[in-house]
Amino acid sequence: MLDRSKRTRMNRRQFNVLAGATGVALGAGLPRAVLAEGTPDSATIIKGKESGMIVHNAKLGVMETPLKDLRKHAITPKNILFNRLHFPHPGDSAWEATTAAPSDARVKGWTIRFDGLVQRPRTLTIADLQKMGMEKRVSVIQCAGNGRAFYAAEKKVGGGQWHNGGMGNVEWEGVPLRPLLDSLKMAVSDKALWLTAEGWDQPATPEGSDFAKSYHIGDHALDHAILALKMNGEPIPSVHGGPVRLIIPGYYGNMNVKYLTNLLFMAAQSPSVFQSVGYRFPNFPVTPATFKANDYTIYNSRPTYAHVIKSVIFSPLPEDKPKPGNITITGVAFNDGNAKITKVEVSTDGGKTWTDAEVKEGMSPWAWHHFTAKAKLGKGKHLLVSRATDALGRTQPINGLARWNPRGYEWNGADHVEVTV
Amino acid sequence: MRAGTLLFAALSACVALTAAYAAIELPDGPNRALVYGQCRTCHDLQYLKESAGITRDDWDQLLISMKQYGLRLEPDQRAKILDYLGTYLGPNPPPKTAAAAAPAAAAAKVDGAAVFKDQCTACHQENAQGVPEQFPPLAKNADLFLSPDYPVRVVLFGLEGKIEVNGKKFDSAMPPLDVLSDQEIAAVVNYVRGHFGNAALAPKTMKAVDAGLVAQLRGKKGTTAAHVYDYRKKLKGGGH
Repeated sequence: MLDRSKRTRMNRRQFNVLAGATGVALGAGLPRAVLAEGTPDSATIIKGKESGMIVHNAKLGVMETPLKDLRKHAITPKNILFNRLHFPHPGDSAWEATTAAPSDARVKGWTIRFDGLVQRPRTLTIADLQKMGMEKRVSVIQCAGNGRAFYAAEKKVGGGQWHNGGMGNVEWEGVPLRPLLDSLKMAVSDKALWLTAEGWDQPATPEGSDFAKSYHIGDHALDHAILALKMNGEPIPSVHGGPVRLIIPGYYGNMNVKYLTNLLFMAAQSPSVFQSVGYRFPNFPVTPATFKANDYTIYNSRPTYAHVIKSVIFSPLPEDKPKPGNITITGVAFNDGNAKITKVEVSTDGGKTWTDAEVKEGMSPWAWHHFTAKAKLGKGKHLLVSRATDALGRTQPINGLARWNPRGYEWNGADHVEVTV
Repeated sequence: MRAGTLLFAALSACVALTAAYAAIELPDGPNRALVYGQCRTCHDLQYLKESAGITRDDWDQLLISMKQYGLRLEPDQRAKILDYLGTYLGPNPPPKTAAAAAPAAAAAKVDGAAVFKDQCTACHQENAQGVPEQFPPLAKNADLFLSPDYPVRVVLFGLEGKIEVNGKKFDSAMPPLDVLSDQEIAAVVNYVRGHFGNAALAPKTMKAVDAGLVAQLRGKKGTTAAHVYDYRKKLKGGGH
């Protein structure tokens, strides 16, 4: 009991610190600060990416989008979309460092194996998929680690220190998953409870774990899933998972398996480290003292499946240096697509008073929804805050540190941006 | 410009475009080289740099995670790496001047086999067989004798781009290991040239490399992995 109250007090104090003097670290500022000396420019790491993206790991092609670029587009173009890969890219066994489509030879030789607890395994080529009916899905794609840097106000979490730029609003197009699985008439066993997706990229060492993700077969999110062949109207770029990527709208980036080669009907979820230990979120609130990075089990945690509700302020950013007087606060809000975003509240005084922003419905339930609010700012520092709520009553914690977790996933605290007028 | 020079320039530009590793420096301290030798197989040192400030216990947790993702360390290597990370990338790193005393240790006798274990095996494997499609073998690798100083250049400046070794193709990025001392680089090159079935491939006239040669090459500032790639190409008569 004592420990608990102590912890609450500490959080409160830390939050005040974070929302006050160092508030800027919480918000959208500091993109350049994370650039490590010696890191090559994004445009030299992946051919076709804009120069000046925020690089987290050159060898793995990991980079996030500065918000000043992200806010310019309704649909995030490939040249600025964030990127995250898990394995380096030596030889012919993994990704090509380009936003161009994979080579014709690679596409031609590509197969997707449908196998596991089925009587009749199948194999399809890209050409087979191209003959089938396609549907579009606009969805936010977001790294599960997006916002990890903000958890440092409670206790710093190891790994890439993402701010808010590990996301984008993207239009995917491909073959709907469930009708496709039905049409293959594989005679799936009753014992199959999980669908496992595997990608073609391979770990750098023989002991490394292959990348795989498993979903409950009955997961309603799969009703909207597609085997995507196109991103923003063209073949999916090499670095973003082409020629074929499993897209589950509303799910975190890692659940949308790139370079799809296998869909397996299984009795249990994949033993891949990426499913069983990595990319998981505890089932109950944890603290740095009670839960360590390797305390995750499949019983006390769940994979980072669906986007938790979130809003991000796009304007003004600290670098916009707004002038005194009337300003417009803009940004985006999104969730897992299971309920309408009903409200985005905005504050200019660190959360003491709130006004409702105008929310424009997104291109799909999974897309981001733009919000706009008018405010008047005098000279001085102002802490802007945004918080989204949906029709199920789900909302963002004012203090995102309440969801601190040792691997730093699913940050969705009310967004804080300090601007100096 | 002559055609040859043009080709050379185009080639260099092409290689430079895939500069996929970052030349990130970590704070100087004991066992830093071991960290360089083990962690860059899968990712840049930027992950370490961005994580700086976490506690020793959190680094310990990270090493557990990394084992799950494929990192293989001997217990003594693990202890050394944890010491380095917990100290120099921990919440209270010592001031820079405190680490400057390290060079004295370099005077001690250098064991090529030990350097090989710490610096080469994470990618090229303990038996030097490499990993298909990922890392070329050092075993029975005649390229080690392309010239007296070729492997020294690879170790000092790295090698990046499409190469062929014993009929197998590779396209990876070896980072520069210039964090090693002249003695260590000479020792590891001589060790690899004398083991793993390489001794039989050595031309009779080729002598062991010494620290002086390494120092001389190290002095050529501005040399990059792309230059080493071009040098290799020249030695192989235009092939790779």
